[in-house]
Amino acid sequence: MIEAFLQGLLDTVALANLTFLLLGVCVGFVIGILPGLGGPVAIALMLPFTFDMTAEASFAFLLGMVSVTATTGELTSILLGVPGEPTAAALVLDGHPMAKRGEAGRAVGASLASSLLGAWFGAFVLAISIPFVRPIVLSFGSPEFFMITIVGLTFVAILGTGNMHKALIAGWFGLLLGMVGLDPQTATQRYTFGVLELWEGFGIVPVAIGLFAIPEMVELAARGTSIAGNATSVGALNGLWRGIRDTFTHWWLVIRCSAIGAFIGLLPGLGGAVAQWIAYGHALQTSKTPEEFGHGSIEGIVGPGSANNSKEGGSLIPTVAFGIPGSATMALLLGAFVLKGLTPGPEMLTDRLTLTMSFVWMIVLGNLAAVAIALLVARQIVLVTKVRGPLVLVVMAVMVLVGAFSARNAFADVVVMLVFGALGTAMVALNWSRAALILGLILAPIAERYLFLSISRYGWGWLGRPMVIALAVVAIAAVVVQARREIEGRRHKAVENR
Amino acid sequence: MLRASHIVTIRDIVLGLFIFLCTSFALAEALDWPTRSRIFPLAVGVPLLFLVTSYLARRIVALRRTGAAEGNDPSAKEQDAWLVDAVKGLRFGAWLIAYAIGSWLLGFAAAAGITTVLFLRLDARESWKASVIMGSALLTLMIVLSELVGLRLHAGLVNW
Repeated sequence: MIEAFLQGLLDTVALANLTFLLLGVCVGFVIGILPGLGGPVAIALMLPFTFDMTAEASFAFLLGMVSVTATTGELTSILLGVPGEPTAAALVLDGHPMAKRGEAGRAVGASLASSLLGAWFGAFVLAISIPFVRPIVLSFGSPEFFMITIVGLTFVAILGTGNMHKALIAGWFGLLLGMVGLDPQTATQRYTFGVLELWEGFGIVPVAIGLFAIPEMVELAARGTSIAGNATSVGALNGLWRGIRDTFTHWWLVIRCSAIGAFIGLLPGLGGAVAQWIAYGHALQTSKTPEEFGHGSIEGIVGPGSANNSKEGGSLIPTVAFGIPGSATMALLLGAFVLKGLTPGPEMLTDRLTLTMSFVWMIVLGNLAAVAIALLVARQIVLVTKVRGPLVLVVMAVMVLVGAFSARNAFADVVVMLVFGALGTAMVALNWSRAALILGLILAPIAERYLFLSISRYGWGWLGRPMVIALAVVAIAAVVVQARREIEGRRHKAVENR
Repeated sequence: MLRASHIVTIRDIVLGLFIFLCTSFALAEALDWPTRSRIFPLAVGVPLLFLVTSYLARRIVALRRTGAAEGNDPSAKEQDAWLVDAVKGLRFGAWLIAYAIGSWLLGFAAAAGITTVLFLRLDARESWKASVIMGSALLTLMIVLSELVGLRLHAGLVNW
């Protein structure tokens, strides 16, 4: 095993493979910044170019690309308030407010550092879990997967930051919206109104762009200033290093959220978009200053930033070990396996163990290269926040429209984006939780699928499974803690007002 | 005369009412479906209806009792500023919709160039030079994305 680990390193740093890795990082850097064009699109576009490459070079190129798209997607979330990927939407909540008050450098530094550490954690988990992964994944059945979605939904209450009632409404409304489309059980059309494009439901990309980017654009248009406004910005480089230091100051949060990301990535079908919100909710709940969340809390960047990147390592585990893709990106990566004549499964853990171990090094080095490139151009990237508002708005308008359309090549998604943009703008103005709504929307089809599987297979006996009970306790505890926090907060406020 | 705080609460109630109406419609629709199709919508919709009804009731009671909104009562000056910002925001929203319609009719590339020039010149009052440079740059970007990167962008209904 150690020999395969070291051989994997030697294979990764071989000149040809390293060149393709760096090329993939550069391509992924550009694609990740464009909203709607994240990991899955990057792989889909570049996969044909890997036909003539060796297996090692091919995966170096593709994994280099995938490693970096999560990181660069966070940069646009912070600087422009436009999620570069749906998995980077959480960083809009705290990263963009920091950019608006002139702390873009600090936010970018924290994002880059937490992304790097999270990615390395995910790679480490991939490396050590290979001997143990099989029993772990096989022990989780549909009841456990359903309960994990419930745990994710209870974080809806926590994401309300002060008003659990509104957050619960937003989250459950998101669940309702998530049911638009064909019923997976009976193929009944639900709330499609005869529109063909709605048969697959609302796309996550146009919804994320509409809910998070459009309100920021409307606000920027109303203000008429640059993103940083009149804020006296900390010198970009000083802010960057401060952000990096902040990440190490919150090292324990990084480890916990990286573990959350790796675990969520490990579970097939949950999707990467869930990891960031669960990590965000966890960071909020464990923070000593929860009132800062949503207004520029550094923990609101460090938590989801590390989870966002650690999930890639985690999602490689079921992909390589079982051929079960841990995410949409991994589903496309399976195409690369087929192209190279590889079969995910025991072969990858035995005869091709060296190649599997080289994946670990590709993630490690790919993220290191991405962060190095980002730091090199960070000063220029941060200057975006000083550009005149209208000039930024026209670029953002192009990005959001192309992003919304490109996800499924459907113009209906542009309409969806605009509708959710109007809803998101109203929610921001009235202090309703957009995060809760999108989390409900993401989890609805997953929860419904696993609920039906659980009932079909186990009747109602699945409620007595030990892990199900443990997860239920976690969910209830989270709601109780938040409720107590809100009641105490209101009591405090009433005393101060007297 | 409505106080500013009344207006904030009323806006909140309007959004809550929107969610209430959507939920009621969703539940009514679900009753016509096969049992397996309607279980989950009902399981979600009924609690949601309860949640939003209780929220609306709380807000209406608060409105009748004191008219107190969450947070401090904004001053008249702040209200005026909000109205100005709201108009600017709505105007930008209209431009965004116009850009989307233009993209549908003319294609992403042409709409990017034309709408950018018009928005920067007419709304943002930028110079002709800046407007044309930005419009050309974005048009070029669209062409690069579609021709070189291979991204399939909507070509528009008009055959150029």
